[in-house]
Amino acid sequence: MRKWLIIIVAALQVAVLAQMAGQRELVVRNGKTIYLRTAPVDPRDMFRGDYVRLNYEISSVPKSLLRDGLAENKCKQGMRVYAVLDVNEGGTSQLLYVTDKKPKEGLFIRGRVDDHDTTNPPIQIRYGIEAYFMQQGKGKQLEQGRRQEGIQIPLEMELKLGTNGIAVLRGHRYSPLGIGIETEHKSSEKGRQPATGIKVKMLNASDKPIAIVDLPQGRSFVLEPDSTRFRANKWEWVNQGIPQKRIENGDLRILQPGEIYETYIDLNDSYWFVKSGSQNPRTISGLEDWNDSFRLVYRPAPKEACGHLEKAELIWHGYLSSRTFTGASW
Amino acid sequence: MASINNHVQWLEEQLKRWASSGIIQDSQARTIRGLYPAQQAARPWALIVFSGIGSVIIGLGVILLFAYNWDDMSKVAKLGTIFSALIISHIIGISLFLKSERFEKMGESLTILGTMLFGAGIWLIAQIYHIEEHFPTAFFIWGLGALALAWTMPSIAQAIVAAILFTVWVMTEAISFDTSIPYALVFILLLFPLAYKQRSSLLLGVLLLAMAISTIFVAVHTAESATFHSLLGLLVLYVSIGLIHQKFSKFENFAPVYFFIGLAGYFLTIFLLSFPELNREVLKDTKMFPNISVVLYWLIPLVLAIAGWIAVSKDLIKKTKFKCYSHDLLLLPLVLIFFCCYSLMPAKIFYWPVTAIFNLVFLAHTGMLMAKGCKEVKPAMAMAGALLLAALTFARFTDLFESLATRGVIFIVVGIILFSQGFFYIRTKKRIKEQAL
Repeated sequence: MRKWLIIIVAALQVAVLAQMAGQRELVVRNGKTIYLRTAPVDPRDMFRGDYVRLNYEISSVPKSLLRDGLAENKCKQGMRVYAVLDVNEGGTSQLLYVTDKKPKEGLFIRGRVDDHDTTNPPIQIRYGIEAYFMQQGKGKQLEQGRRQEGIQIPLEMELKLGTNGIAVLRGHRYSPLGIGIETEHKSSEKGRQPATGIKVKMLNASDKPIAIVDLPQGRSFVLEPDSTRFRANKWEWVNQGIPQKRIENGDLRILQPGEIYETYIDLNDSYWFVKSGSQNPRTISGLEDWNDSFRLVYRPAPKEACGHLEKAELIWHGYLSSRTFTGASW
Repeated sequence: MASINNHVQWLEEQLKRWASSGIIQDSQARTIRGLYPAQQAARPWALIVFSGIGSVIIGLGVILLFAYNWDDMSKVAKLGTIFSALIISHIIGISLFLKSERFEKMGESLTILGTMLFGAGIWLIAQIYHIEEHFPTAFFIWGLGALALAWTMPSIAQAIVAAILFTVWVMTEAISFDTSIPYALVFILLLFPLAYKQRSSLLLGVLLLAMAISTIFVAVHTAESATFHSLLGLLVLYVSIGLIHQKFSKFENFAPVYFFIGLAGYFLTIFLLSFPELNREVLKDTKMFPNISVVLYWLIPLVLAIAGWIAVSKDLIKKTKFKCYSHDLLLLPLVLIFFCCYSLMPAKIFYWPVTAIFNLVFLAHTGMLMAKGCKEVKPAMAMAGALLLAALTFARFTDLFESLATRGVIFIVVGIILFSQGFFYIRTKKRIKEQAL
């Protein structure tokens, strides 16, 4: 009897490992492939060697994207949540919303609330895919990322997603386009320097020509308030939600591999003004609160709206977000 | 057992010398030898210790080796290696363990290696599939694997591994995630019956330490202000259990384990509370009734400790002789009751009025240890008392006496006390020797 009990217990140890590996292996074999944008953070783990810590765009969720119980402030640390995703034309996945109710269908990742303060959205969510293990010494390379002349090329993690929301990391790739910004400032009193304009650069980091939409005065970009800081951003771009003008052949610019495109955004141009509640629209130049930060997003028209263009097949339909910036610096 | 064997060996050698010198006859030597038990077969401690430690180190080595995460090694090869190593070590280990008593310890060591490989497997699979879930849970699952084998085999070494893993689980939850796992204590408690069944002082010592450390990390998160209360209650309980064990010859060897860990922890706690700033920090915002779980954290150890002392009070009143006992130990339940009652008071007096009590209690224990150590010629006890007195003197150097002259006088007085202790210790030892002759 004792002999069999010992054998059963030892076999259970093997079974636990087999279950761990088997569950993930099933997802790898049968799951749907998606790509998620991320920024690598820092490497190394005592037991598991080198790893790159990943901070996904979907890890920080603004209050506006919370649904069901989460929207009703029923959010608790460690709570199981589901991030519902959508795949954009560039092949990367974007967050639609986060709910505490398991979706019956569609693309979703399960996670847990990591950090939550009822007074200060957004909430932080861990999906169990925040570590990317690599051979010792190689983590540092990925952590440094791909950067060229101040242009950051976004890292996109390849995942397999099971129907139950379990995600397994499979690999990584870089976005074909990179983006970099430089804010220009006006010298002012007491060292405070309001931002006057932004120089935007885009790099074709792929090995094929890519067409980008080049509207005058940088109007192929949109201005998005950053809602991932400690306090919600109260500002809204005045042109938020207004559809872009119809693109013509002359609006396209073909970027050869390695070629950099540059444009300038004048923050005193009323097109880039922001508003808050009933206040008059104003320039973001001079807004000095760290929470009032913004980013520029390149998001060309969808495929169906570009069908009439001669080089339509070269247009990259993904999206690119710049790093955040504020209206002043010191 | 080793100690008895040493004495018996010494006696046999002396009997041979006396017989060869003609002091006693061979028949008398045989009669004297017959009065004492035969030498018992020594357990292969070297094998147990070295193979046990070896297994743990090999297991850690495997974890670190895989942590290198070779790109050249395929997923199948990595999984195959870990699964086959785990299965082989368990098959050989269990076979040897069950085969005969001769190979039992070797088999047990191999199953320890298996348990270490089980842990390595958890980390390796997490690495292969880039799993970054709640990592302390890995220590819990690993600990459960060891706990199950500890009971079924039964194995002291597996139980020690399990106790360490459960403690690491509680610690990592508290340090890395600010979470408290009160039910973790249940898993450590599950190992106590095994320590009694196997009569293992070593396992008992590990479990008592694991309980104390886990109690701190469990209480510090959910009942921060009651952490010292929980710990003090637990340590006073240990000492009372130590006294109870002295009544039962069956578990008499466990009494020193309870005493040593209970008193060492108690002295450290009282020493910390003798610092006015820390004392104030611990007691200033004590909320004893914020919710039921906090109440349980300090009330359960308090009730159990007091119950333990009530259980031995009858023997103390009857003046039953305990091998390990001195009257200053009666201060333990009193200090615990005072500490909890004081925390319940709505208005508190801080700094020296209350800190002085802990200083005086510490001083009383110190004096008793020194006096008892000298009287009964117990060098370890006398030394412990002297060291504790020196520690208290140095601790009070900065926060009690500002005047250099006062500090100087205090140091001279303490120095004289320590010298006197040494003198009395030597004199008593000499007197006892003379009486023996």
